[in-house]
Amino acid sequence: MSVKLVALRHVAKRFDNGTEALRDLSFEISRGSFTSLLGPSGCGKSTALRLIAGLASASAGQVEISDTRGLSFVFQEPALMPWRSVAGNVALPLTLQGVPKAEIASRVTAVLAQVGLAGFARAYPRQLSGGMKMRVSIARALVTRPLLLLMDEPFAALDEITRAKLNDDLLALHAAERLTIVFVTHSVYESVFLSDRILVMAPRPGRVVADIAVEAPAVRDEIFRTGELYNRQARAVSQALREAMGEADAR
Amino acid sequence: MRADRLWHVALPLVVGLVFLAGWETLVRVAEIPVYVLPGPLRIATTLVRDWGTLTDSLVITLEVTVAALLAAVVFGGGLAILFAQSRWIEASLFPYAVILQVTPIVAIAPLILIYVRNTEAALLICAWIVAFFPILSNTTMGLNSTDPNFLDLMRLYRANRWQVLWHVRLPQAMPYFLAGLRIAGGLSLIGAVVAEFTAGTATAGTGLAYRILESSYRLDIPRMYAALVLLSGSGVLIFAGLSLLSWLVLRRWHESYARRDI
Repeated sequence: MSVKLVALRHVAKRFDNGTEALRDLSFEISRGSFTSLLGPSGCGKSTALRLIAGLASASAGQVEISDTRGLSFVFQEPALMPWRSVAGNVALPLTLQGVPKAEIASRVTAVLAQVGLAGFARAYPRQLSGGMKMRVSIARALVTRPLLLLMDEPFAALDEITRAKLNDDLLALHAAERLTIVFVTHSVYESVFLSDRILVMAPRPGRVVADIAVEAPAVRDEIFRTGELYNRQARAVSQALREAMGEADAR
Repeated sequence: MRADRLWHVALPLVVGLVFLAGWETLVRVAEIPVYVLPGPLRIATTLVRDWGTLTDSLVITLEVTVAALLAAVVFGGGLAILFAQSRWIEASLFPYAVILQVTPIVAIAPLILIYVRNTEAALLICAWIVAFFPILSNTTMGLNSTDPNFLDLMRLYRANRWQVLWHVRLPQAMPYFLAGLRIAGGLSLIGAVVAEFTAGTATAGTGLAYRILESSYRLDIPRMYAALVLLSGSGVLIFAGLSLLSWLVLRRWHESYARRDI
């Protein structure tokens, strides 16, 4: 059976201003899985991700991570430091860990090649397109060789074509690196295409209302994306999301 | 593009030349005496004739200016870093920095000249008081305007306070600091000159401001203008130098130097 990496137990989060962001949130993430947190804006999905990352603390309940060795976070914005070159941005986490310079150089070169930015090490962020910036951001997350990759709507600001390409590349990375990915999104289609499990969340207060396993072929490609299996599941997930919204409106 | 640039240089030059020619003509036609208004040619010849004395004085004024600017960088920047460490320190000290800034330097200078025996040190303090505030306030603002994502990243990397300062806050504050520095450069020259004027009557100074005072006592108006030309020329050079520095530091990454064609 699958080994769990992350567990949230009866987690609640209330902000200082009184907003109840999460209530009684419980789920487990198993190692090697690709889980999407899907929900409308304000359902607390980003907050849940920040709790897992340790960037915020729960007001009640527990957040457990069985292996804290490697955890990386990709923000909605690329969050690249404009004064550092592409290589400098990717190298930053290793520099802070005190990794020897020669090793940093070789790991940065390797990870940039992996995300398709081999020739851009010396470029500066302002010279790159939105999609390329996001690739740098992903490279920076991967360079520490994390077990767990947390992504907060990373492709939301990108155009459709770039997004599709990055989706493909992310799947390839997930398969190659045996990463555990938790992916926050508000796109039904993205969540069905990418993940093997979708947690549908409802707002005010944020909680999980549906836990959907995604059925997919070994290789998720254009044929899967346009096929009946994909469409049927996208419809089901949309339905679950609508119900979640309806439930919220009825309150 | 290239023609556009040419106009940017040519137009102000033409305006300047027309102005100088008009001035010279006015002085000659109206036969204005030289002790009232000398023509630009007379000022130029005075500048050449007194070049040695004037540049000796200029060096002294510039020494005070540069020392004051360096002190402003060290103390203004250092204080800003201290402020960034704690809101409490900032809250308790910042009002006094403002008071120091808003009190006119001409009013403080005589007092400083009384308490500080060494004239050069007194001049330096006066110029520093004028110059340090833009560096302090700009750098403080820069250090505090950090992208929250960067702070989250540094938390994930378990970076300590100094690593956050070095890798995030200082680079982010750099454009603000450099903008403050450009203002401070001009202000430290003004501060040095004001202090020299105040000191000039009290002690035997030899800076360029003292030369202006001395020339006015002798009604040597052309020499006053010649000294003025040197002072404003120095001011322009200081500004250009600091702008160049700013360009060298920021050109690779900052939006203010971004070219539209990339």
